[in-house]
Amino acid sequence: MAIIETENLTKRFKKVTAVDRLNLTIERGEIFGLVGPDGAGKTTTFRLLTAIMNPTEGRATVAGYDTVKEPEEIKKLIGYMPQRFSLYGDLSVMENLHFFADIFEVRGTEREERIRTLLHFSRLEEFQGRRADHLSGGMQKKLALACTLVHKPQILFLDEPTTGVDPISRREFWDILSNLHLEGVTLLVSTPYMDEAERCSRVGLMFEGKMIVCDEPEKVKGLVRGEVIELRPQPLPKAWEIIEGWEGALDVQVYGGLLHVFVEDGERGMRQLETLLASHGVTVEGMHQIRPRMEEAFVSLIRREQEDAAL
Amino acid sequence: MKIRKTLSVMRKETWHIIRDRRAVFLVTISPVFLLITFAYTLSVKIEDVPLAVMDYDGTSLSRRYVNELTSGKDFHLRFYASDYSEIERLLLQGDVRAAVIIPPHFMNDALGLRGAQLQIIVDGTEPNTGNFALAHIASFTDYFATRILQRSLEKTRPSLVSLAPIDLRVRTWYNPSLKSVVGMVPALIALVLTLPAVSVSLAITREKEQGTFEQLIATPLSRFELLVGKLTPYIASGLLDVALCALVGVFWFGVPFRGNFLLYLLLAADFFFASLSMGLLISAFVSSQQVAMIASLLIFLFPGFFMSGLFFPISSMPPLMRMESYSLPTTHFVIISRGLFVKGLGLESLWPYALALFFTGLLVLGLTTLFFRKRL
Repeated sequence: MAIIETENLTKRFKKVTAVDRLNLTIERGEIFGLVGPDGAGKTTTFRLLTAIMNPTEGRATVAGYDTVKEPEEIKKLIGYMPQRFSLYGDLSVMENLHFFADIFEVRGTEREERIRTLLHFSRLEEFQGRRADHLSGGMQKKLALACTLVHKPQILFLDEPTTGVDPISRREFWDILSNLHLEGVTLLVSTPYMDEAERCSRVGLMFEGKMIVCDEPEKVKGLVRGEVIELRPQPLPKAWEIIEGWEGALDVQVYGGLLHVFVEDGERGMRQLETLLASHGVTVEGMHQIRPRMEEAFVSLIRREQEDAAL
Repeated sequence: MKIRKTLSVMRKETWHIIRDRRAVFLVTISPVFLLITFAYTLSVKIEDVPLAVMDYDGTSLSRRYVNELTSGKDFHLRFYASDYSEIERLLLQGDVRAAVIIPPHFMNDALGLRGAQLQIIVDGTEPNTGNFALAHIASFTDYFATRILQRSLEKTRPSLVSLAPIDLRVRTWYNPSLKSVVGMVPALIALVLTLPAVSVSLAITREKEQGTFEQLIATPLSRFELLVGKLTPYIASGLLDVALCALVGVFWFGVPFRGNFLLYLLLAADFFFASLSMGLLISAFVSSQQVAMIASLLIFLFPGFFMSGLFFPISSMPPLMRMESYSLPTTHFVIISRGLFVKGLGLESLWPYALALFFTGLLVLGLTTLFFRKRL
């Protein structure tokens, strides 16, 4: 059963269309990743779905409730963690938790237990009395998550929950999300990190308000045209220039000292590249075929979109 | 509306106030501070008006007139002028604010009851001082003339001396010495107590700026719970201000408190209900603290100063201004504060103002709840 469903959901601001005819279906129990560059419309999508912003056109239902007509029903069932730190900085960890428990009417022993559990898994037990604005970035994010979980929401909306968080905290954060997923909570997470996108059951790539691709991570990677060859050429700028001009290359991306070249056929491409680069005096180390990662997939999908728009 | 959720918002809001030094200052000390400053600057009495005299008569009577006129605190004799051009120069340069010109034969004409003449010139560029000088010289001259008349009657018809045509006895009630501070302080309390409304206008806009608003509206907290929860702590802090201001009024400025203090607090709460609801209305519909601050100052402080009957009686305003004046909560509280503080009036005569405040609050809070949206 679809827990989130949108139908031509559109939000226009004065000059830009932030969300453009979005048709999205998310099933109960999914962990759905929303990715895309800044300004793609991810945050606006979250605001529309959490019923704190009205769409210009189209409609959306969350847990069967219409976001415009029955926003308050939705708000009882969801947890929303905005991108910006949105807790009260002058309140302590404990005071923030209790405030949200009050608002969601979590009472009695259930409340005590819930808060104890949340403090435990967010590892904030020792910081109970500390003011929220004196916590580190990672701890603030975990506290924000704990506050949105206090009422055991069925659906969790997390807008870039790990942006600006160190890798270890990021890993911890995702372990928490995976546990929630196992408990049956539906999660909608936006992220700029591709490794996080790979942990989702499905990902949607947004670009300029539109959903370009929406599928399982493996299938998204399969959408990339051709195969990828990784090589370490010397000198790199010259090699890059040569390959850019080569008709056999579908796309070239630079990763540090490495080049990723997209070609129709990996085996043939490697042979051709070797002779091409050797003829220009470029030495090549460790050329091999790799599986396209999420990162390559998205970069090439967005480039294709941009090229289509330019035509 | 659920009480527990509202209480929770109230507690959170109280923490915001208590933990922010600026907010604490704004809601506790600043009204008292303003009250003291305003009371001192606005209750300055006109004294020692510089005066020039040109005495063409030079007799014992003209000298006595000048001596008696300038013997009190009202006038300070600065110059004896010898001709008209000198008087003109003194007035023009602002060395004196008024001049008395006594023509020749003043004593002769006066004692002979032939209508002696006297000229007063007043600098009109500063109407307050001008009016004061004019009124005081005129009434002193009347009194001086009456004494001359009585003395001449004593000689000619002694039986008529006690039969003055009108015997005027003046009594000023409630503020017998007409000290302006007594009338001013209770009204100023009403004015400075609009400051909590300014703070409340920041209460929601602050959350909008800090981004907590986005989180808050994504929860099942109802609009009414949010608004009432925000309003109440500020009303409480306002009541603290009332007590502080009243203490300063009584013990610092020596203004007698003749009414019922509990009733005063109750009516003040009524006033806060109206004025803070207006502040909240601003806060709900404006997106930045700066705009909210400017808007609330423009609505509360400035019109409060000029239109609340603090300085200028409302009865002498043109009808449109009078309407605007009565739509300000401050106007009603100026009346309540003056009446209760100094005159000791009770609810039996203050109820129309109390009712007006109550309905203003109800109307404004109702409109705010109605039009406020949990939307970005």
